[in-house]
Amino acid sequence: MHILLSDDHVLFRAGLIRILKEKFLNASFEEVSTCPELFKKIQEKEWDLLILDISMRGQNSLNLLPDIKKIRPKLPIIVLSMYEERPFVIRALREGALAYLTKERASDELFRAIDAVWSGRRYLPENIATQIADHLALKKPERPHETLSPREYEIFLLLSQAQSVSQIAEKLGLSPKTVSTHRIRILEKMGLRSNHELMHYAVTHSLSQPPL
Amino acid sequence: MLTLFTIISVLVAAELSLLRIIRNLSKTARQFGKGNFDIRVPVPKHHGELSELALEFNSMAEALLQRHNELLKAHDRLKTLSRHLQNAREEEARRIARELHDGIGQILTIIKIDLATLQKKCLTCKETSKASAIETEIIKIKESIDEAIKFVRRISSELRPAVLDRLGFPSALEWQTREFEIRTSISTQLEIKNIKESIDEDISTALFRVTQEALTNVIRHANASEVHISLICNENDFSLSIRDNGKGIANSPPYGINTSGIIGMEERVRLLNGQFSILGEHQKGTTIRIQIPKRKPHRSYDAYTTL
Repeated sequence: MHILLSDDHVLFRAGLIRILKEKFLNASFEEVSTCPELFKKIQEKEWDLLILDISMRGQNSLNLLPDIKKIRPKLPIIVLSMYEERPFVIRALREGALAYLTKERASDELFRAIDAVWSGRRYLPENIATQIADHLALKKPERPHETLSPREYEIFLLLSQAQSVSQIAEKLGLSPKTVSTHRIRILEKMGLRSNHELMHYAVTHSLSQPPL
Repeated sequence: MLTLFTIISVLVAAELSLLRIIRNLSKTARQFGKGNFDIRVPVPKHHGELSELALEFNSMAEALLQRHNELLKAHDRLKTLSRHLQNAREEEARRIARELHDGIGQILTIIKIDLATLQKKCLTCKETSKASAIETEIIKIKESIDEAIKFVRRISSELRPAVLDRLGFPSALEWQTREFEIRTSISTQLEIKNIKESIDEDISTALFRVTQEALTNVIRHANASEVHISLICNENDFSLSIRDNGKGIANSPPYGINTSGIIGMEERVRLLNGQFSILGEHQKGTTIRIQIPKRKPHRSYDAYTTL
C-alpha cells in the first residue's frame, strides 16, 4: 500500500506517519513538501491515498488538484489543513478531494476519514459539516413577487401581459371588482405604483411562467 | 483755453492710468486667489505708492507660491508615508497571522498527535486504575489544546484572513458576507459581476478592509435589517457598493458616528487613486460607494475562485 503525504511541516508529517504506521503495518510512505515535488510523485506512480495540506511553502496546493485528478482520476484524496474556513472546504471538494479534515482532528478522525474514502464515500468532520450546514440554512430574503399568494401571482402574471382587469375577470371567472381589489393588493405588497411598473418588474425579473 | 484743455486731458490721462493700474492689480489678485499662483502684476514706473504696492503684491505672491509648493511636497510626503504605513501594517498582520496559524497552530496539532500515542500506550498499561486516571488527564489536555487552536484561528483570521490571500478577494467577499449574515441575522445580498481576472493585492486589501469597516458600522450604528453588497469589474476600475436600510448616517463630518473609521476607509481608497463616497438618507439607509482604478497586478494571488 502506497501512501503519499504532502505537507511542508516536517514534524507534523513525522507525527502523522507515526500514527499511520501503527495501523497500516505494511504501508509504505513517501513525503513531499512542495507543490512541484508533489506533482512529480503523482506522475511517477499510482498511489492508494494522498493526504494533502493546502498551504505549502506559500503555494496553494488546491490549484494542482485539477491536474492531479486528470492524471489519477481514481486517487482518493484527503485534504488535511489548518484552514477551517468554508471556502477552502468547498474549493477542495469541488476540485475532487473526497474528505476534508482540519489538522487538530487528525489524531482522532484520520482513520475514519481513510476508511470512508477507501470505500468511495466522502468524509467531513463535525466542525466542517456544521459550517456548511449554517451556510446552507441561511434564509434568502423573499423577493417581492414571492410574497404573493398563488391567486395573486396568477393575476400578477396576467397584468404583466398587459391584460385589462375585465379581461382577467372573464378569464378567471371572477368579478371585475374582485380582480381590481387583488390588483391593488398586489401593487401594495410589491411596493409598485402602476401597471406599467408591474410590467417593468416582470420583465426585469423574467417572470412569465407560472411559479413551480 | 487750450492750456486748460491740456491740463484736463493730462489729469484725466493720469487718472485713467491710475485706474488701469488698480484694475490690473485687482484682476491679478483675483486670478491669484483662484489658484493661478504664477501670475504677477506688472510694476508701474513713477507711481510711488502704487509701484510699491505692486512690488509688495508680487513678493507676497512669491512667498505664497513657495509656501504652496512646500505644502504640496509635505502632502506628497505624508501620502507616501501613509501608504507605506498602511502596507507595513498589512504586511505585519499577514506575517503574524501566518506564524500563528502555520507555526503555533501546527505545533499544537503535533502535541495532540503525541498525546494520542500516549493515550494508546495507556491501553496496554498493566495498572489499569492508574492508566485510566492518566487517560482522563490526557483527554482534558487535548480539550485545552483544541481551545488554544480555536483561539489561534480566531486571532489569525481577525488579523488577516487566509481566504483573502489564498483564494482571492471575490471568495473572501463571499465568505465575509455569509459570515456576517450568519453572525448578525441581517439579511445580506451579494452581487459579484464580471470578475474574470485576479485582483491586484493592494486593491484587494483595500476592498476587503472597506467592506469590513462598513459592515462593522452596520452592526454598530445602522440598526438595519438588510444589506446589499455589489462588486463590479468595469473596463477600467472596480466598483464596490455597500448599502443598508438602516437609519442613515449624517452626511457631513463628524457623521455622528465613528469618524475615524470613515476617514480610514476614504484614506485607503484615495491612496489607490480611487473615489470614495458615503451617503446617508434619514431613516432610509446608508450607501458607501468606492471605485478603484485597475492597475497591473504587481503581485497576484495563487488563484481566485468565485463560489
